[in-house]
Amino acid sequence: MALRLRIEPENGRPQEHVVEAADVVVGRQATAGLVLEDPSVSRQHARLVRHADGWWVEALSSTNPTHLNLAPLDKPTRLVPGDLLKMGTTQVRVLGAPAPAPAQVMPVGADGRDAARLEILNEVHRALATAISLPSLLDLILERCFSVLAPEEGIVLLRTPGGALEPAATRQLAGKTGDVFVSRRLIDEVAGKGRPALVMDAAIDERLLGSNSIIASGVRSVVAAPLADSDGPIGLIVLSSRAGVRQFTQHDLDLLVSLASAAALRVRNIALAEEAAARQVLERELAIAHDMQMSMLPKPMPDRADVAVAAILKPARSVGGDLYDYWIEGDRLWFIVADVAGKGVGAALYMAVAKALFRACAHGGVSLVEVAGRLNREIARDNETMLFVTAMFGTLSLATGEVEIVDAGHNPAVVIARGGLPHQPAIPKSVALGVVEDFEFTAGHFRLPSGGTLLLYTDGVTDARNAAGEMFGVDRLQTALANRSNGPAGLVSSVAAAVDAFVAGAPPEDDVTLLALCIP
Amino acid sequence: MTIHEVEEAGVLVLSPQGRIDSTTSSRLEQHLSTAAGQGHRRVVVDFSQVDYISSAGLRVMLSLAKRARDQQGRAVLFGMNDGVRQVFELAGFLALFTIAPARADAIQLAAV
Repeated sequence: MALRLRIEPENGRPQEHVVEAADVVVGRQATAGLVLEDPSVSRQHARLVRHADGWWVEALSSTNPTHLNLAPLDKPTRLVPGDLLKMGTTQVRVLGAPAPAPAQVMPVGADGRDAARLEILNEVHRALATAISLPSLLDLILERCFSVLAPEEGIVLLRTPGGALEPAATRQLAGKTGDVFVSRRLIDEVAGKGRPALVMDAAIDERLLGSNSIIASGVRSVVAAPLADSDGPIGLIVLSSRAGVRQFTQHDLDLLVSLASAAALRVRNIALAEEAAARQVLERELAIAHDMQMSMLPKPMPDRADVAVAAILKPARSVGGDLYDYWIEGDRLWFIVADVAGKGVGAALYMAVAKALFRACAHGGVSLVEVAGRLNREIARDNETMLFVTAMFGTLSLATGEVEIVDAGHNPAVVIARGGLPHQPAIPKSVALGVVEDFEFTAGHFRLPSGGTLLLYTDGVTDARNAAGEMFGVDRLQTALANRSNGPAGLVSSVAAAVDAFVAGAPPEDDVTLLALCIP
Repeated sequence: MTIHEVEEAGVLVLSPQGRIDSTTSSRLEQHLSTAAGQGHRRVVVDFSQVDYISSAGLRVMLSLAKRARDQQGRAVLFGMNDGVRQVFELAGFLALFTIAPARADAIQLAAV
């Protein structure tokens, strides 16, 4: 049961309106179900609701009252034919049952062209829905433009992610060859300001169409329309012809503008879909890279009587620039924790390089400072990308617990004696690897007591931020260490869990790496 | 992150504000390389409004230090808060720069 109303504006022609939907907002805002173009009406003024017993009206605005039969409406009230509603200065009269639907009336325009235009637009809408790729969509748009507006040349320019407008599709009348150029000024006018243009001469720019063909082809007629959606202009369509062959009119421009706005939304949708597909491919590749990176890390060491090792590496993005490694050579254990500056694929690639370099440089017969020097020279060589690696690395004697260690610009190491409090061993500070080519490294020495643990970590631990922007910091690390679980595995997982609990789901900004070595 | 730029006594003073991390560091890099392209060899970076610097930010500072060294220029820093200073210190980067106590000293040191 529809509701038939007669809208009577204070100034203007009364008109009839039939409410079909069961729940309709009446107001000034464009999205209202029944729009009253009256400045004294609220954006959401009243509401018409269909119940089983008929139509009800309810006031929505407290500032601008709704009157029913001259009395202010203070509660939802059922409407009967003959009721008179007043909203602002507009009167709304409730009529009886709706009259039979009038026959479809074609919109009337000058010589019926508007009807033809609607038909074309309808057809374009249907056709656009069938295109699945961006190139095929753009070709289709140009093809429609050619069949409707008959230009000699057409071009679609789209904004690239970098912001420049680049030709994305062109079309020329059969038999025509050569590039289709568009003047920069026309582009600025149409895409920049979002204004359509109808130009009847070639004075705009000698590069308007074809670098030197313009002289030969003479005066040209050009129509151009922006491709714009709610986010602004995303490109433009330009059609042109020699003026002697075809001169565009305002009507042609209007039609092109309509075509362009129909196309713009579809262009945006397809561009978004293609972007999403490309992102999926990238994510798959990154997942593979992540697996490869993880496979480069050492396998957990089998249980031994003389040493226990545990480690965790959580990349911030699928791949990251942190690394750790350890292996036993004779009666000592080599170890490294390092952080390649930067994140993502570039850092991950270099992480693999750094790990291989360390394996190649570190072996018996070479002093630790010499290992550091070689590693540093290799990374510093031809270092145009200003890449550097902070690292803490060295050896642990399995027989004596002696540690020899180099701090190349890294976070301080932590030693935890059995049952004791964590403390920082004194290690001479050296610059990060790759920064100063001829740097002389100095190693630190201390003894890890029986039952003691050496913990190395990257700044992803201390710099982890929660949603409020606070950093985990050294103090929370100390607390986490004080509340650790037993053994090196318990230690690294307690700290990692404390970081996780602290960031509480905020996206990680840096890799988190922890390596714990324990002399039982 | 916004970056203020002013020239004083032939020295370019850059004042970045906020965090210099992997998302913002490229902007500082752009400023510094543009300045280098315009022939500025004496640069002061004012850290008094920098809350945090990450390793990506250190990379930019490293390129500034290397450029200053290669072109006989100057790179002077001042105004670091404790956290920022610690990041420089941890990475061993304090040795790469002249660190001035305050703005006027920094400009004077860079102008020499």
